[in-house]
Amino acid sequence: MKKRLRKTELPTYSPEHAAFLKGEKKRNLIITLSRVGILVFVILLWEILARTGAIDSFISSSPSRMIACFGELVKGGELGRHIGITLWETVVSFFLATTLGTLVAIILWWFESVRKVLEPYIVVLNALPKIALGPIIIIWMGTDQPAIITMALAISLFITILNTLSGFLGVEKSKLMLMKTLGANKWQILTKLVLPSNLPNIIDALKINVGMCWVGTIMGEYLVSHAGLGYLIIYGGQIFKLDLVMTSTVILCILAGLMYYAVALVQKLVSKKLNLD
Amino acid sequence: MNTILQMRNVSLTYHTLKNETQAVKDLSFEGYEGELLGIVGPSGCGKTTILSLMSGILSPTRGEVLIYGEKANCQSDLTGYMLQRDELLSWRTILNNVLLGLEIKKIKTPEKIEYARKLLEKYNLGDFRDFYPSQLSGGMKQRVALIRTLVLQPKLLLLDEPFSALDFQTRLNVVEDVYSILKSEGKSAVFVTHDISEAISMCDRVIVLTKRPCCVKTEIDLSPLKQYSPLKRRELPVFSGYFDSIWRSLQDTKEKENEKEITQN
Repeated sequence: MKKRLRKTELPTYSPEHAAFLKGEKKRNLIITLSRVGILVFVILLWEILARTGAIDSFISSSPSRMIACFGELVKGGELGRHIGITLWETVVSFFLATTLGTLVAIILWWFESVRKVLEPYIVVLNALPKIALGPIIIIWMGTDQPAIITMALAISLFITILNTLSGFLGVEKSKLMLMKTLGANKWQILTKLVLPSNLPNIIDALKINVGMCWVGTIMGEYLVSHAGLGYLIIYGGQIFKLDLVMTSTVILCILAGLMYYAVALVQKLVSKKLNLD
Repeated sequence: MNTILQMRNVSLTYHTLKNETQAVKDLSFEGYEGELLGIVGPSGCGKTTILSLMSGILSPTRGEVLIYGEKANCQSDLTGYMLQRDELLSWRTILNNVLLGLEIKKIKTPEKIEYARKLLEKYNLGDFRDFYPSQLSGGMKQRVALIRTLVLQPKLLLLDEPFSALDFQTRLNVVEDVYSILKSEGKSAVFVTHDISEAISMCDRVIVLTKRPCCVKTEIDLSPLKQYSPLKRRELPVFSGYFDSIWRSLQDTKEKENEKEITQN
């Protein structure tokens, strides 16, 4: 009802408001242009420096060499496989970390004494640099995808648990009181209050998780893999083929960015649907 | 008049690791059917505790709390609790907020939903049924909160300073609304507040409590004002007289406390 009203009001702007809108539009245009400009500038500068010999393109590569390298990878039919493998590992560990993390957080929320007992362990495990677990993971999980996914999980799981749990525990006391006055049991408090009010938190945790899972996957691939973008990068480094390293890194950038935006989009849709914030 | 609420020598002690606090000490009073009973006391005297005892969320350390002769318990449908703030859930529509209690008690039948719709309709919220709380004003939200309580058809309403979060203008109007809703639904209610004028404008009888641990200080009968609405009452010449006597007895409790502290020191 309200929205329809606003739409019909649209054409009747005062000149001041029109000027304000124009100014805002201009500002947004400048921001977009600057963003694109920086990218173009860096690429051009890189290319020019490499062509004129100011930097050694053997160790710095160059945009044109990266494009050539990309072309070769595509032609060889290898690229799709490598991207697919890395994506698969990231997505699997992302879903595992999110579901397991939320589940554990629910359990810890439900049982206060379990939470108190386990708290120091989770904090210590969260503080531990997970790369230190590399040898253990290789020995236990082998040198294949399970090891990589375990590494990604190790990195993202504990932070998910901690973030989600603090959201659960942060539910307003007065809202809990409301549920109690209505005679709600624990399950009802969880499903009707704690979970819905924490959806934004959980989705925020997803955003962090996307990044964490990429870190974990690439780190895992560095350690053990035979394929994937992390493998391409480490392999390129070993044979001193910087074109391959740079190309794979850029592809990784694009994929990680896309995945982040996908989660951000989900967040926007969900909070709109549920009328949160 | 039927006695529907009995507080019999109720005491309650809170325990924390550092100390124990006696919030209520040997408190006894009664409430009657169809009556709007006000409870006034200095802030921090344990007014909310008393309502929690009546609703059965807390159990007394000693003594007993009887509602319609039954021991107060939080699963019973006899009492309906209305909190200081509306506490509407932002992700639920107004109608779904009103239905929350029915869902929790697993009595969300078509008839009850129809009753909820009718109540919203009756109190001018029908058009806002599918809106979200953020789209409503503070006063409207407070009315929704009252309807959420009424939908459960409690016999005794427990109102915990339900207007304190509203600005003064809104508050006067909402007091008027709530008063007429309570009267037209024929509800008995216990209304806790630290605002003396609000208590006089709404209630049929006011109990003044002492400082913590609280017990009954005085009781003031407001039945002569029964025929007037809250706003009208504020205009009556006797209003200031009532105000004065409640204020005096509140002051009294404070002064005595001070004296005690001085002699102790």
